[in-house]
Amino acid sequence: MVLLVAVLVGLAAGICRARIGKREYRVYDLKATGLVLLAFIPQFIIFFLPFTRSRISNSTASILYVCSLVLLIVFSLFNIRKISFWPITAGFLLNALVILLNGGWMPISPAMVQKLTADAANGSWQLGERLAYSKDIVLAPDVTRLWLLSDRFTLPDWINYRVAFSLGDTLIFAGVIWLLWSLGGIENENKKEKQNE
Amino acid sequence: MKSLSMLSGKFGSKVRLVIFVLTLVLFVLAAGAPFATGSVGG
Repeated sequence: MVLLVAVLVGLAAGICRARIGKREYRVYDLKATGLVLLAFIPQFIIFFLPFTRSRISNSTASILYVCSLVLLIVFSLFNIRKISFWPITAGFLLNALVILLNGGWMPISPAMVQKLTADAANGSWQLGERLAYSKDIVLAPDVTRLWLLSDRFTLPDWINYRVAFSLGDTLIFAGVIWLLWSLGGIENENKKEKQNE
Repeated sequence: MKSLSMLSGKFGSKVRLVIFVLTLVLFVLAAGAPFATGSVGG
């Protein structure tokens, strides 16, 4: 849920910016929004819903996940002209690339899993297997394709929240904040955005 | 009539904002792939 923090921070900052400048907080119409909902449904079933995620095999889940990514790629192409959407799209495409090259799952190293789940029971995860009901697969860095794009970053120790994230996630995080912040900006910024529609 | 049109305009902009943010939230949850202990999927 760490990426939702970006939405909340960006939204709050953008609305404050608009209020301070006595402007309206203006959003634009994204194209083909139905594709996002369509892409989210299979992910909701295989990652979030406890009743279904425990019943779906990893191979089926992987196929559904890749189908979902394809829908999101199409959505990104529909909205590629919007400059403020570029960092988010770039982050997503980096994640999609490393996932597609590693059998349909986001790779994470054993050392990283050990660090995040230090108090987990022995045998709760295995090398080469999917990590619980997450989007991740535990792979050694030397057999990971594009290891640089895998879940290899963590938050500083003074933040008491254990999470591993990728370069793509970082771009998505920063992109969401920037996008929502920019919507509270001056009219010229919004006009530039509209010219690209 | 004018106030009605202003009201619908204001309501419309709120609906657009909600749809925009909801789409963004769904996209971010589906496009991101962080792994956190205790929660999954972004």
